[in-house]
Amino acid sequence: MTSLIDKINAANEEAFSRLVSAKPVWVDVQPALSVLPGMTRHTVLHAGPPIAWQNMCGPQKMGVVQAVLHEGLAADEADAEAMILSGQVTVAPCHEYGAVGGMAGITSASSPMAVVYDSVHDRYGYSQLFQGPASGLQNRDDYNREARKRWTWLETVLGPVVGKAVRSTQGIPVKPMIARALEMGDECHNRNSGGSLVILNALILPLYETCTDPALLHEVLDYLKVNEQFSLCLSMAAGKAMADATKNIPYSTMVSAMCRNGVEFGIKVSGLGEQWFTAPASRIEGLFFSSEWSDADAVPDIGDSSIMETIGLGGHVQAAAPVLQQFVNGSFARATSVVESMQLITLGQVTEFKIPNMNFTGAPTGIDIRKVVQANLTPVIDTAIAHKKGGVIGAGQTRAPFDCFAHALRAFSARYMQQSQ
Amino acid sequence: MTEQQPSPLFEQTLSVVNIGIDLFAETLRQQSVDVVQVQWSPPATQNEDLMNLLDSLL
Repeated sequence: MTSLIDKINAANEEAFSRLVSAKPVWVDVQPALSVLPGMTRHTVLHAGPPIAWQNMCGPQKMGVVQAVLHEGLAADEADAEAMILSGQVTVAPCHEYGAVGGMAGITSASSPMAVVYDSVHDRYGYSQLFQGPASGLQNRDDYNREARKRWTWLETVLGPVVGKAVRSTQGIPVKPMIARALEMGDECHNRNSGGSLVILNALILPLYETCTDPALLHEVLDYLKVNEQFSLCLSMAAGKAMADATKNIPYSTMVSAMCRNGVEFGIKVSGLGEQWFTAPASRIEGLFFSSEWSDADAVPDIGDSSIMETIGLGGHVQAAAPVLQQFVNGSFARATSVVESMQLITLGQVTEFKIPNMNFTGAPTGIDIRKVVQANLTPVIDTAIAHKKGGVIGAGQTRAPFDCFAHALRAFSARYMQQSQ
Repeated sequence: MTEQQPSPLFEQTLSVVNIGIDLFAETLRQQSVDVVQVQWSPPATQNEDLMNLLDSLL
């Protein structure tokens, strides 16, 4: 008779092999309403595990209201809040609609989504496009106005123009872009300068061939030139497709999702299906982009971008991007020790994602809740820092809270140890 | 009173493995001593129930 541990090991091998064999390809950009399963005009999605609107942190709460106004569902903020509280607007996690969203993750019907498809597992992953830097942080109304102006531009210019260009290609494979970015000094979460150049390179000719309006072409190229984090949306959409392919494998203790909403950090575990395990979100150790900001202005850990650590990148491959150590007053030795510690809590190394300056060792991937609890080491997350009134004000590192993994381990044992007795 | 011989340890090149606090390794490196640093910290106190669960799962 197969022992419980043998079943777990076989299930984890299967989960890990799905991450390795996935071949996510960027194929399109389309409005959320057209592509997200279950999306409606009255739905607003957010980053992180489920949370009631009234319990959200400042920028996410404000973002949901702005999205309701932006979609023309309400006349003013009071009206929008009443609709949200009465349930006329559905507020739900991006993760439950096949998507991921950076920072607050606000995604509504018209949001243009990067569409990534993995034909190996027949899985789609979606991510909103980056809003880019918004001015007016000192004033809430200015910020909201700027943000909504930006959303309109993303919907009417960037999404359609880039979507057309991408459709004219055979699709742009995401894993080779990530592998190349690692060689160029990215860890593919906080640093995406190399990856964004690779994408810009891949898009230049298709844009030139498909966009006949020089003014629009100029605007799009200017956006791609300035937004050094652009490739992260594609990596995140690919990460979502890859991680979703590892879900629902009975007996697997591998983490299939990690995300944060600024209040709680949540994980899912392959063998435990769609159940969330949450704990309070951590503060972020890092640097602020201006001396006017401090911890007092910062929201705790927020965003779905920790899908990157879920697939073994970001904090797990920190040594690939030594420059990021400046955010935490660290060193290259510190970065390598972080990678080595992530090797202790993961199932294996993905050789497709190599860390050049660590003798081309593979990315430590496939977080095992048993190993996390045993070693009392949780995943290191590289992340941006959000302002309580909205906008990105810094970057740094944090850790997933231990209690998520402890709760998951207890639930796993309750489900599977009884079955095996 | 007999004079003790110096330890042979001090007559050869040091081979040092430092376990834990890396300040000690760094201090030796500054004196041109080769050091292999092993990251380690004492295991934190764990919940007994979680450790018991791991006995059957790992």
